[in-house]
Amino acid sequence: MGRERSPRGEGSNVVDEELFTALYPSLRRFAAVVADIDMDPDDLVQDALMRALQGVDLSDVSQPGAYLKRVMVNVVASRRRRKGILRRITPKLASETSSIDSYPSDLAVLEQLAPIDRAVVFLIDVEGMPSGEAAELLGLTALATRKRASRARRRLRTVVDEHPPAIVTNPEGRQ
Amino acid sequence: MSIDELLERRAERGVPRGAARVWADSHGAEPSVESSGKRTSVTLFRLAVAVWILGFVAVGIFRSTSPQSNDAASGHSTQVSGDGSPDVVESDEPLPAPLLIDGGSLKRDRGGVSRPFDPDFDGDDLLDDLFPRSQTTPEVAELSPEQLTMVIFARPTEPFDGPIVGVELLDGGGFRPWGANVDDAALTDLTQQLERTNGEWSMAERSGLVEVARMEGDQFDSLRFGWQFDFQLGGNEEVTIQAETSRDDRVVDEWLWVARLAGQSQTNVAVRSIEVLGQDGIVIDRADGAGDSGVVWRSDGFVYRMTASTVEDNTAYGRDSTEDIDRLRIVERGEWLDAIAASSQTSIAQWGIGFAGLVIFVGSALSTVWFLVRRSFPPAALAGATVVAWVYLVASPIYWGTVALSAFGLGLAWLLHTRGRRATAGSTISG
Repeated sequence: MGRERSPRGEGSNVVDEELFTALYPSLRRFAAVVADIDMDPDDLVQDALMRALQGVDLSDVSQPGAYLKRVMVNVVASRRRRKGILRRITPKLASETSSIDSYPSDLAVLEQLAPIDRAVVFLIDVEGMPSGEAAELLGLTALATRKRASRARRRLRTVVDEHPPAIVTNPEGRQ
Repeated sequence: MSIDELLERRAERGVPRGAARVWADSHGAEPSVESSGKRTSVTLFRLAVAVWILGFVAVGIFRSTSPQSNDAASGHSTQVSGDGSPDVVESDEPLPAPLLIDGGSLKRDRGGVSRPFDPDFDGDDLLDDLFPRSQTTPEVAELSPEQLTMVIFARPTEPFDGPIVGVELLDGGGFRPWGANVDDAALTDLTQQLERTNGEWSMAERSGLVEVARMEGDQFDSLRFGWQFDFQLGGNEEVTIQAETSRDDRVVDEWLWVARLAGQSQTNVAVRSIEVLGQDGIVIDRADGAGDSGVVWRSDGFVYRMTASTVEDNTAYGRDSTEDIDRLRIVERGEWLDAIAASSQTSIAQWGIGFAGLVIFVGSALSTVWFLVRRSFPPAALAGATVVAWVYLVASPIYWGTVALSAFGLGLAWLLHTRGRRATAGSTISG
């Protein structure tokens, strides 16, 4: 998945924007899955884009979509680590009621998985990506990817079976 | 609900802001400017590295080719004390031979001052004696017996340009001959023509040589005061100038140096006449052409000797000192004292630059190690190059240039390291 190098100067910035526009739908969906439930998916996409553009031009990257997705996973993982550290430092200040409970349960069950596990399952099961390609995108080995996917499905299955997601009814009464 | 449906639902959560909005938000008000600005900064960085490299090359070239300037300042004249000691008091006695060389500056590590009556006397003591402080009078050693110790034979006219035979009289009645401007065979022949009658030495008439000089007692005992300074010329050339003066009742002249050098040399020396500062002088060379020649002349009661050398790999190699005699000049005492004082002074700026250079050197070395530990290899190479360049150019005449370039290189290394860390934010999975 390559792209020809664009000319230097203002034009390359336009190319980067066009490239991003084409990738946006996929990036947004991926961000919605990978990001924690309390994080706006577009904020994650924006954050990853800003970090990426500090070091490279998107048009110079051979697989910009995969690159940005990798950045997103790192950002969420770092954010989780910081929140975990803060929770350990100030346990008394942490709310006993998880913020997850304030969100629809069908979306909140995915919080049981780590961001990278959500990414693996989403790419393979929803996007239909081969496990090897998903491994390359996320910087994992093929074996590790398959193991993560298997473990994630098993975990989700357990959670879903024990706590089936509630059916949300919209104001019109449709599900 | 299946897992796929769950994930699909998750993927559609929220209200998309749209690609254009996210792009604009990530770039702020001027996204195109930031992108081109980033590209411009990379170009500037590369240009800075190129300038840094060229700077070090220029400093290296300057180090090997640029001459020093003689910064001897003009000063006022003062006079010496009445007892002849080089103190700053009113006196009619001649001054101790102020002499400088154009294009040369006194080295801070001065060769030292020879003061036969006080072997512990050195250049710093000379400096103390020459500036207004409490007067000191050199102690005069006891005279050795006035016995004849050296007789020198040469042509009656232009003695320095013909064969010279010296006879060093040894304790116990023996003697040791030395020659100048003669080879071993000629010296042997002339030695055989020596005659001694009633304790007086003479040379056979057929030799054409007559007694031209004699020394009594220890030749070093003849000296009252002397100094020796080293001068740094351009590049790696140096000059050493000595000046010696005698006690009131003894005379020192050029023959003193001829006798010294000829007597110390393993081969016969060569002597010839030359004019120095309008005075008659001589050039003393080793006859085997190995260099290390010296120019000796007498002026105002002092006997001067100048030698020249080239320093390579911390080793001094003798060269023809006659090349530099046109650069000699007699100066006013004040100018001479200023040059001596300046050679031993270290300005605050020099101390500061020296300290800064040391800090930068240590910082560069530690940074190199740090970059290697962090696996940031290009910055490590840049910092390591700074260390190497600093070591090579630390002795540069423009030390401040070396310090500035080293600091610049270290800054570039850290800038590169910082930019690299930001750029690799998305290259690996960390969670």
